[in-house]
Amino acid sequence: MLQIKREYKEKLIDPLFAPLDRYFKLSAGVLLALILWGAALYIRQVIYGLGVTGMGRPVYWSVYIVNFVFFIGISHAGTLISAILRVTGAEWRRPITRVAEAITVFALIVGSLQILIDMGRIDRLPFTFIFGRLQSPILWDIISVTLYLLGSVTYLYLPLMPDMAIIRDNLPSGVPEWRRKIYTILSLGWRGTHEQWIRLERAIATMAVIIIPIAVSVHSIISWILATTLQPGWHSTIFAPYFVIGAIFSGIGALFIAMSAVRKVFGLEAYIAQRQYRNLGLLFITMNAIWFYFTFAENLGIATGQQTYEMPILATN
Amino acid sequence: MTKWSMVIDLDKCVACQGCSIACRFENNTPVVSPEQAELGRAIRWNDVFPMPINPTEETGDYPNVKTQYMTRPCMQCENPPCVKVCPVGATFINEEGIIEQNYARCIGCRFCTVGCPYGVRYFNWYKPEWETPLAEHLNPDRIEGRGVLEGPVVRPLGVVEKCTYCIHRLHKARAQAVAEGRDFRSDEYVPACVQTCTGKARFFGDLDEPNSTVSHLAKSSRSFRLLEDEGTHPKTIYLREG
Repeated sequence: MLQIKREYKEKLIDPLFAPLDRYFKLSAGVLLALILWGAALYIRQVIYGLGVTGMGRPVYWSVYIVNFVFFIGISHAGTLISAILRVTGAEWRRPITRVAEAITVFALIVGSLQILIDMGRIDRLPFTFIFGRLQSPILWDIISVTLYLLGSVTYLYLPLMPDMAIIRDNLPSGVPEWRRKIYTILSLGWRGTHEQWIRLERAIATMAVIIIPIAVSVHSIISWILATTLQPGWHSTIFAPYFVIGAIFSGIGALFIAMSAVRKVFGLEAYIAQRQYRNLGLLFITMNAIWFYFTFAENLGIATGQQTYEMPILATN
Repeated sequence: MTKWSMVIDLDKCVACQGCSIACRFENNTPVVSPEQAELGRAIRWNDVFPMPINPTEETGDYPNVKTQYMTRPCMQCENPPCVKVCPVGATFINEEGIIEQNYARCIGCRFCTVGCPYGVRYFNWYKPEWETPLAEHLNPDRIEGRGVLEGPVVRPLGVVEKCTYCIHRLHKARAQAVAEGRDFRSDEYVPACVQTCTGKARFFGDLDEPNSTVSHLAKSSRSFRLLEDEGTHPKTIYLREG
């Protein structure tokens, strides 16, 4: 039995089992309505074709792909905070780690859905496995995003295991049996022994090292989908690092929003405090500076080169 | 080895758009409404347009104008960027250098349309439809087989299509030669646009045959290819206006 102090129990565990309040029901209802609306529109698109969107020639890719790039981008929040900061031993990250990892998993699910929505023939999705050509950047993308999703889910779940065990052992009275069962299954027999901790720490440390190159590859490959074409403005060597930095930058932005919401709703002001905001803010500014540097470097080359095809693109920006 | 190629003499072209019309009827290209065309959804395997598309200072103001017209089928590149990016091999280059498009395989990701620097690939945003008199006169030719659907056959919704140098005509000409028990000659096959060209500005043939018309014309000092510096090596070759 993993016992925790009564004050922690009241603060951290009891809210999980409190009856759903008005605000939760209202916001969940609104979001559910939005999902149903989107699903109806998607069915309409499948029946009539992609003509129902505003796309045409030469804008063959539009909001869906922008959404894809954006959501995969903010998914980098989790990797940065939990993996990179873990490897570098920055302990201030601890209170916001889970929020960041959750952003990664949810954003990845939303992001990869965009690609499916964008396909003209969703019924032929299995063709990418049956007839897949490894030479196509889309195949690189399928492989890396799938790997990243599986890796992130594992990475979210591993450190969650001891916490699930704590909840399992400190359930408030009167909790229904099915909820007890969920926590029992999710804690995978965790007892908090020394040996279990050593194994878990080793697993997390290994995953942290593995997930960093995967995350970098995911956004590099997304940029290469654009950069491997001959489109002026896209056909550029800076695209991969540019996208990765942009991803981390927007990921930190998403993390600010999510951690502030969690802090407010669960009353975690004591845990997510000034230190987290200040350090994350510094990282944010750093990424912003690199982003500016890349943008400047890219545009300077185009502007001084004055190439026939690239220059008009820069001029319209 | 055969290497099919087209030469377009811009000096002879009168910009009548006959090639576009012939292509449309030969290949059952769907017709779209003017509103859809406004959105950039018109499908033109063969296009005729003024060069440059947007008048600039170089083209001048009336009456001191320089007008130039361009006709544009698929460039049938020897190093095709569209084929390289296709995730499922729905578009591929055959052993005679023609870029084919398999409508039964295409997943509608539109990577090839973005990848093609010439913009010759078109997506079916809606199900193709024709008004009554047109719908009754569709070309019945089609190339169909296990997992293959090509040629002028009416395209399914949500796939990409493109100029194939009228590949169904090549299939038919070959079949004819086989039926008559003789060898196929490269002058037995031309695409519809070449056959119809008013000014006889289009030539078609085998670039690997040293004495073919296209081989001779390709060596002309007037010959050039679109976006030559992109390294795509088009087999559609132009002859500059003199």
